[in-house]
Amino acid sequence: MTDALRRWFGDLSLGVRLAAAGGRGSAVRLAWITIGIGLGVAALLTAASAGSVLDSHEQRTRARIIGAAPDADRPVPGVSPLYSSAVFTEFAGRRFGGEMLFADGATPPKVPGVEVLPKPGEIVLSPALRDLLASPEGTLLLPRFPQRVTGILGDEGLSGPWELHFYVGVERAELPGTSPAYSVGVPPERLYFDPLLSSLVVIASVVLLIPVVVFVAGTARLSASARDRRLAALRLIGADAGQVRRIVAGESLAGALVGLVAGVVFFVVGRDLVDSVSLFGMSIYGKDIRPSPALALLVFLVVPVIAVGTALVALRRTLIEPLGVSRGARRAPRRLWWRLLPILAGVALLAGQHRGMASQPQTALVVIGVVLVLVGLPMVLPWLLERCVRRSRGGPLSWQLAMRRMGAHGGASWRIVGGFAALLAGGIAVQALLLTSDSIHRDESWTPTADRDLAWTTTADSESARRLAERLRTMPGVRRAVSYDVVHAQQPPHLNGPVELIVAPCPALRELTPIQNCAEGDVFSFPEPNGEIADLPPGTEFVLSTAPEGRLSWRQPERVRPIARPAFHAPWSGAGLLITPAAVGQGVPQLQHLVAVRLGEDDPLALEAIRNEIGLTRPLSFSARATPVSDSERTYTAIRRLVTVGSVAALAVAAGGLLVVAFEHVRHRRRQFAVLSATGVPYSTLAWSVLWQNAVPVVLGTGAALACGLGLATLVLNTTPTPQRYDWEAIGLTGAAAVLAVLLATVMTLPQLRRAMRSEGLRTE
Amino acid sequence: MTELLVAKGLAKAFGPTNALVDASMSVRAGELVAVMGPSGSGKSTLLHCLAGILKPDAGSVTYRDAELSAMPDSERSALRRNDFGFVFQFGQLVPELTFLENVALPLRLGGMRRAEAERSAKVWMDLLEVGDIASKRPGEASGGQGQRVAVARALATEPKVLFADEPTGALDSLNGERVLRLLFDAARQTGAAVVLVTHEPRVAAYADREVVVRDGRTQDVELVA
Repeated sequence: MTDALRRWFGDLSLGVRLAAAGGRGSAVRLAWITIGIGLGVAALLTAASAGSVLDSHEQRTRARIIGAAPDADRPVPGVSPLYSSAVFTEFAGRRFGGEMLFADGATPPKVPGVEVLPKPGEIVLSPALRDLLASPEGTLLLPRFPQRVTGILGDEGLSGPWELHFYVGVERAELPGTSPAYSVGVPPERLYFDPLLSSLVVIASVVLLIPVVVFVAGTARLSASARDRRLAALRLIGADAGQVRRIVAGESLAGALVGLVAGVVFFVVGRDLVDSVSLFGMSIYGKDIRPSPALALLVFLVVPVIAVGTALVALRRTLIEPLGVSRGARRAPRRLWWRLLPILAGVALLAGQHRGMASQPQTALVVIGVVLVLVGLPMVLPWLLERCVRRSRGGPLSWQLAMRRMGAHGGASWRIVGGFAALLAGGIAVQALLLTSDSIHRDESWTPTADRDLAWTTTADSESARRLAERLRTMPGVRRAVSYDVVHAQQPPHLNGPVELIVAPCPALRELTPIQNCAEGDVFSFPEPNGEIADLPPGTEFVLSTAPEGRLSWRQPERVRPIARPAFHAPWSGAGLLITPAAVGQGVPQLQHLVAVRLGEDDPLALEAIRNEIGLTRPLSFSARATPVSDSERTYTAIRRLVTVGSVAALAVAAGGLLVVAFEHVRHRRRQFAVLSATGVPYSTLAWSVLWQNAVPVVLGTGAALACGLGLATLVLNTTPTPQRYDWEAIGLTGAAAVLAVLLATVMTLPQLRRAMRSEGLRTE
Repeated sequence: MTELLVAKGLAKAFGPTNALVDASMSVRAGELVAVMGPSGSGKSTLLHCLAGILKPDAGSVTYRDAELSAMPDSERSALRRNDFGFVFQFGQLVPELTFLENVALPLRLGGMRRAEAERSAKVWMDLLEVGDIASKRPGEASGGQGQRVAVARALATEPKVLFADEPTGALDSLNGERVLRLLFDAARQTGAAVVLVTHEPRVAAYADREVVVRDGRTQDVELVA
């Protein structure tokens, strides 16, 4: 090692020693920076694991899809066919599902996580579903699972530890129209990742880096006076300016390194907890959370660099001399033009990627645009605050005191607020992106508001449908239940909308809608929901599906009587014909056997009982109720909640930083406060001045963050074809948390302010 | 004796206040110079200019024929680290470090390895009779002990000039006497010149020579032993 290098190392290690040594101030500072950077690093490592989590989730769910591979229906020697159909059910607002299986032979393809495939009347459950059924809250669900449990699904067959999933064995007859499958799983190369999600991960990572900067900037002001004395003492005994900078860098490096270690510990502990605790309903295996090695390395390099860089930047205008430290020398007013450059460049980049302007938006450019805007915001905010403070003239004494103090020494709190604002803006943008990415919410717009009490299910045959309707009629919570069949027909080319053909005997048709005279061979027509009659001249030909895969031609007879639209009909379906079986004539069309149910009062218990009556393998569909999200879809919601919680947590730490600045401010000026108090300025005036001093930057910062965040989200979402949505609840929550943070920081400063106002504060030594 | 440090025609103003007006003095190797004067007369400013901590507005300070004002910060820092030592009234010890680490600090800043620097520091601490509190931190010992540690730190690099600004100002007379005696004895041992700022004639009595500062002007007084 050369002498110069050795001296550099010596200076850095002295800084590390100074960070670790010392009394309460140093311990608090180190703890603060450790927790702050640790949380940031843990969050970054989690973000760096997003790829592996998504990849594993996709792999796991795709690996269990039966018969989806391109050549899955091609017979494989030694493998017997497996018939399956996906099935979903709902319980307590949660949608989950599985597969109905029929193994036609002794050697069916292997289903991941299933030791032995269930035979008819048997079921294999996921551990979470087993636990739910065994728990008191699962009592209501238990009748839906009368099958014999023959196994528990292994990890490899589940997307996460808390997923409710099952494989139920059924008879071949219960799987009509299904093809035999000789393989399970989709080849990995066909996996698809949403580019929106990829950019989301990168943006989230950048947003998460901001707290690291905020923590370091905040801690730089913690025990600042002690630190100033220390640095001046070092200068006195011969440390030159470069050495002092290296010592300061060493101090920050120590915090960053300890923070990195803490971050890894937080990450590992958190990852282990994921298996045993379900965070916001998220179902992820801890072992699937693996940071990308390249990104992890980047985190380990970038965090110390940012920590050291921020500390050195904070020293930029600080003159450390042997007799003391001077900072905040009168400076020229901040200039706007260069501060605006990153934001303008970012906006230009994002606008250039607008779906109307760019043929194919480039994810990298979108990400760079977002980063530029987020980096630019904390640069513009001090200018904005300075302008506001300078323009403030009048107001009560407390306001004037706060404005003057901010004008002279506002830098530290402005930096913290700037970091917090960037974080908040990024959070809002990420929320909007997540909400837009969430396919369930994307489809919410079409959900009609009427007919919320109308539901239906299908059965294997007409007789089963009729019996089920009879049973349902006797159940609490059911107003009416009716069974009928629907024929799927190829539509005549001249029709604008689809026409539904319902086949049922006269008694069943009378259940559907009021019909005065009905005899076998009659045909009736009903209008669209808006009352419009379909243009169906006599002799119109329909091509009906028949089993198996045949075709049957049916011509509309001369005499068709108009009737009222059936009350049981789905509101979005068009016009249709009610046909008595004799009118179908020769041939047997393929019929879908339906039971329509009109429910009474909104009674969740009755609803679960109805679902139990219908059974596991026949889902109850609602015409107008939003379908609860499935487990995998809940992940989006969970991530959004996590982002909200993360934003609020980061805000809490930023508030802590604000508190530190306020503490330091009061401590540093205790003599001035004592003098003001001695000259008759009341405590309330000084307390209000502290409140203004905390509130003004935060309110301005929050406002700027909201404007910037929403603008950013609009710009980013404009690069995608999806409709824009904003999570106002989360935005409101974060705003409220900002106000709370200000109040809390102020209230916690008041005792110190009261102490500072005592007459002892007048003493100089 | 050789003149180590020479100040000529120094002027220094802080805003409208003239701290030094045409002040001159010199320090010879190994001698003990007391800078006397009433409060606010400019004694400390003169010491800071002599040590290269403050740049005078006018005049010059030369150390071994090298002009301090012309030196870059790094050279002046090196001078403070290697050739000068400082003992102030209070505040010059780093509170986060132990006394031993404090004494070793200038040696480490000069590039000496930690173990070697601490070995050397311990020798000085023993000499100043504070070896037993080596592992304590400032604040865990008395003011007198703290000042003796400061003296040990100032002498650890075996400086050519030791600047002491009211070193006993915060101590009672008994502890003050002890600190001064140890300081002068140790300085004589190393051959270091001492520039001692004080307003106490009792302290100045130890000096070979006295410079009186009044309203920023100096007056040299040769004392007869």
